[in-house]
Amino acid sequence: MLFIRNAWIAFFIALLPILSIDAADKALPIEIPFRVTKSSHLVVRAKINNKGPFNFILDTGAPVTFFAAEPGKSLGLVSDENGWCILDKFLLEGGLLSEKMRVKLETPFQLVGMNGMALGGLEMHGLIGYDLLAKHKIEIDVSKDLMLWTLLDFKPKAPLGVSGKNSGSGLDALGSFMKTIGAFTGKKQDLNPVLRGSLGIIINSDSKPLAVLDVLKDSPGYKVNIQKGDLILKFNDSEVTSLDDLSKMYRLAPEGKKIQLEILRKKQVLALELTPGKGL
Amino acid sequence: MPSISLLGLQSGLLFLLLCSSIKAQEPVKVPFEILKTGHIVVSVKVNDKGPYRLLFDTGAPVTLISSKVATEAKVIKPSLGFSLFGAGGQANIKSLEIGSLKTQNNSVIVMDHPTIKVMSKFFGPIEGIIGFSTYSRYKFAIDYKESSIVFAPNNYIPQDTIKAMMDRMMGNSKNRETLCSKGVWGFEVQKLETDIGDGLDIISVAPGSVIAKAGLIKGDRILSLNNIWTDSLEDLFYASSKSIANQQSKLQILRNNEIKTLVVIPANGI
Repeated sequence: MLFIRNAWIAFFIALLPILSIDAADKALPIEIPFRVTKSSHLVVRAKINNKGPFNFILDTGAPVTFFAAEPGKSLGLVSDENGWCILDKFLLEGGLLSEKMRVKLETPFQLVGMNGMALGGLEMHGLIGYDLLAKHKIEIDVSKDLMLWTLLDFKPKAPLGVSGKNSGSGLDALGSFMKTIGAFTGKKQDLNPVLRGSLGIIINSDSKPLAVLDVLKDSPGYKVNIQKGDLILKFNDSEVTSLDDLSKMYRLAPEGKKIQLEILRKKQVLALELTPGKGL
Repeated sequence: MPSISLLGLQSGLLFLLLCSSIKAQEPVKVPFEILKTGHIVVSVKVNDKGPYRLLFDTGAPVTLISSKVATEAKVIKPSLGFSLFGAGGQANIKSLEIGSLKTQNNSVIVMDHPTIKVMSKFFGPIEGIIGFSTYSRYKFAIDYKESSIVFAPNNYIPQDTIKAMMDRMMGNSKNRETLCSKGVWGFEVQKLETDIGDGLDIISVAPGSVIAKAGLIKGDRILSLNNIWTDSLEDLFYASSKSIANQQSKLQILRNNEIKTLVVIPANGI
C-alpha cells in the first residue's frame, strides 16, 4: 500500500519528460476552453489534421509538445528517426490553429500510468509544452472554464534536450508497472459520465413556491401533464425552496431512477413520476 | 472604560484585516528564468529560508520541495516511513514566497524527484516544483517574452489531489459524474455510429422554446456551444452544464454548408 502510494507519487507528481536527444503583432486573445481533471491537470482539446478531439495536458514542465504513439498511429502519422513528426494542422478548441507544427510522437511514461488507471477521469493523448506555449501570453484562472491565449511577437529558442540516461529506464518501467496494476486490480474507472437531459419544465425562479411557467411539447414534463401554474412542492420527498436548490437536486438525483415530483394544482396535491429526458 | 478600548482594538483589527485584504487583491509580477530546456524557474522562499530555485510546472498536481529545503526551513522532521526517493510525505508550509508573491498554508510533498536531480546537474540546484496546489489559488498570466508571471488571487480552493487520487486508485470513488443541462433549451440531438464528422444532428426542436426562437431548426448541425466542440453527446452535455441559465450562450451551427452563429438564453427550469 505504502509502496504503491510512493511509486504512484513518483511517476505522477510531475509531468517532466526529458528529451533524450542531446542538442536540440499585437494579437487578440483567443478563448480556449479547458477542464481541470480529477488529477488536477489542466486539459485542453485539439484536433489534428481535422481528426479528434484529443486531450492534451497543458504542461510548462514539458519542453516540447508530445502526441501519444497510439493515436498518432491511428491518424497514420509517421515520425523521423528522432521521433519528430510534422502535423499539417493542430487546432486548439476555441480556434487557435498552428500549421506545420512539430511534435514528438511518443507516449511519455507518465501518461501510460495515468491512462492505465484512468487517474484523470479522461483519456490523455499528449502534453502541450514550451515550444507552443512560449509563443503566447497565457492567462489561466482555474475557477473559470476558459483560458486566454494571445499570440506574442516572440520566437522562442528551440529547447535543448537533456540526456535522460539517468532517469529514463527506471521510471519508464514504473509507468508500465502502474498500468499493469491498474489492469490487474480492475480498478479502471468508468469514464463515461451520466448524461441527464431536461424535464422540459420552465419555472419562474422568483415565485414561492416555484411556479411552472411553461412545459415544452413532448418533454417528460409534458408526458405527465404538468401544467402552467402548477406549484412545485417536493422533489424526491425533499422540500424545494429555490430554483438553485431544485436544479442541484435534479443533477444529483440517482442514476436510472425515476424522479418524484409533488405538485400543488388548484388546492390538490399531486404526486408525479418522471423519467429524465434525452434532450436539453 | 474597557468596552471602548475593546472597540478600539476591534476596529483596529478590522482596519488591519481590510488593509491586508486590499493588499492581497493587487496583482503581483514575478520574474522567471527560462532554462535551455524551456522550463520556467522561479525564486522561492520557504518559511523565510532561501531563496531556492523551483520549477513552475502547470503539469504538476502538487507543489513539491526537496528534503534539503524541508530540513532547512523546518517543514518536517525527516520522515521515518519507507519511500522510493528520499524523504517523502505531505506537509504544510506556513509561508511560501514566489518572488514577491506571499502565499500561506501551502500543502506540499517533500520528495527528491529524480528528474529534478538530473536537471540540477545541468542547470544548478533546483529544489522543487510549484504545482497546481499552489498556482490554482491565483489567476495567473505567463508571458515568456517578458519572462514573468503575474498573479492575482481568485479565491479558488484546490482539492487534496493526493487523497483524491488514492481514493480513485483504490476504487473508493464509485460515483460516475452526472452532466446535467443548465436551464431548459428545447432541442434533442443524435450521433449515429457511422457519423464521424464534426458536430451533432439536431433531430427535434420544441415549438415555442428559447432555441426555436433563436432560429434553430431540425436538420441543423450543432458544431460548438460556447466555444466547446460538440462532436459527441457527452461534449454537448458538458458544454451545457457549463452554461448559465438566463445568460447568453453562443451556438455555432451548420446549415446548407454554411456556418451560422445563434445566440440563445436558456430558460430557467429543469
